[in-house]
Amino acid sequence: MLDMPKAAIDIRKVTKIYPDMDGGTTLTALDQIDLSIKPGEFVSLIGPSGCGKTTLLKIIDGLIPYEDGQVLIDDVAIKGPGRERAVVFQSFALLPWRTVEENIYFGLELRGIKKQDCQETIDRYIRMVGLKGFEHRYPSQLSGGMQQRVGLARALAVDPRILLMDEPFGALDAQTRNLLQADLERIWQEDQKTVIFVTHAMDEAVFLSDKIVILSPRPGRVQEVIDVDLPRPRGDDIRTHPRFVELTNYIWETLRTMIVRQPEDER
Amino acid sequence: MTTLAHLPSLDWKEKWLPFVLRFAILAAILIAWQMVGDDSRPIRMPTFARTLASFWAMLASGELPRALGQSNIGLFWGYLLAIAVAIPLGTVMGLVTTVRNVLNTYLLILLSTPLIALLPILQAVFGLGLETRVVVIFLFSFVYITINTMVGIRSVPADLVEMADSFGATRLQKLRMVILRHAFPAIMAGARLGLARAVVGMVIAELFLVSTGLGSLLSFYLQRFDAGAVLAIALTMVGQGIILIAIARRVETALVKKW
Repeated sequence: MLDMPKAAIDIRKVTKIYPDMDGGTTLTALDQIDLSIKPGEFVSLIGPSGCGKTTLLKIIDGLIPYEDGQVLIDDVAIKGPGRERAVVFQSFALLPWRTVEENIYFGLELRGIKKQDCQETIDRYIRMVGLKGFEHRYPSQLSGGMQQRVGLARALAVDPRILLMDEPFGALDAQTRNLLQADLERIWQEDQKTVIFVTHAMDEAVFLSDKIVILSPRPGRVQEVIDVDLPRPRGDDIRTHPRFVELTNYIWETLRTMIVRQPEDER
Repeated sequence: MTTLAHLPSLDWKEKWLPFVLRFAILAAILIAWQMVGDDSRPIRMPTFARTLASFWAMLASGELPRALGQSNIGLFWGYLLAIAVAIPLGTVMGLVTTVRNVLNTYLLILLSTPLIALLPILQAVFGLGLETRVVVIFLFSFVYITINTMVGIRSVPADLVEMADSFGATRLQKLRMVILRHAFPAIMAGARLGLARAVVGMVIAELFLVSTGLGSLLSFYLQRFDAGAVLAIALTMVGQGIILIAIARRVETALVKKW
């Protein structure tokens, strides 16, 4: 896994249209999205609700069909989910009848790997996400933050080259969120997978990303791409860095105009 | 920690107190029963002692073991058939909207039909043998198992299925490792409910259709106004029901551990 090549993602003119339930009009969730992500890059998708950021992430994972365009990974168009990608879900999506260890094993089990043959891998990721001592607990016995650590370890355990994260810390409280952001930054530093990170938290996007993509809603379009030129590794002290504050404010200003423009819209 | 010191007494309260209380209540019921009973005539409410004596007599004469054997053959095949049909059917109904929409109505009709009213028709079609009993037991139990299975399958959270998809699970892996596993407690609840219904079906078939097993024994002593024997047979059915439910629990725990 040391020399595993990092993956580049090319999104070309991806368009997603939802049929309207009442018939007649349709909803264009994504309109000709063009996006290029370099190998090993950490990219955040941010935007007001309804901008289609989660939809775009699911399209990149191959979970949902789309009307037009292409998603290329290392110049190959994707057809459905693939082994080089793994997802971390907002709802954690842990299997409640499985222990921490068994949940992390899930992806490996699907690939037909015997548990005794990958125990070392499982243990390594348990330590990496800080769950040592909790291997045999069930998800219901863990806090939200710890449950998402399991979700992260499960995704990392299949050794994907691309990590897709769908508002992974959205359901957590602010303190837990800060801790997990710092841990994720550290983990990402270790093998620099290509990461696409959907979020609605501006400071989170700035803290973690190399690049922030601002999406505008209805139809979802790429509004702006911002390079985050903060030094790495980033610790908690970076949150008070003038550039950090400046970037966070800038993103807020950009998002605010969109939210004001679209007052009542949902979805 | 110092609080550990009081754990033994907590253990006693949690573990043994319910046991002791249960036994005390049982003893109280038996004593009360013995006092309320009246053995002056066979038709009067029998005492506990008379019921027990009838039980031993039927056991010794071989009537009761034979009847239990006959009844349980019907129960075994009828219930097995119900499980074998209901779980796959309920699963498909849970997964495929069209199948669910088509069959749901018929299940509801079957659910609300008084099956006893259909017994003469079943008798006309299937005759007076084991088949009729099996069919009655099947009809009594399979709807409940099907509906519980369907509801269980439908309650599987979409995000768990999506998660399995994202890790590249095949359809079979998804069904086995996520959907059926998640629905398992609901399916087992349906299976237990179905078992209780199957026992009711068994007795009804034996009383009203095919005179055999516990049902025929029951009507035999009913006609002779031997209340002690009737009560002994009824309690035997209760006992058998408790044993069957206990077995079902064991099976459930064993399956969950293996999964």
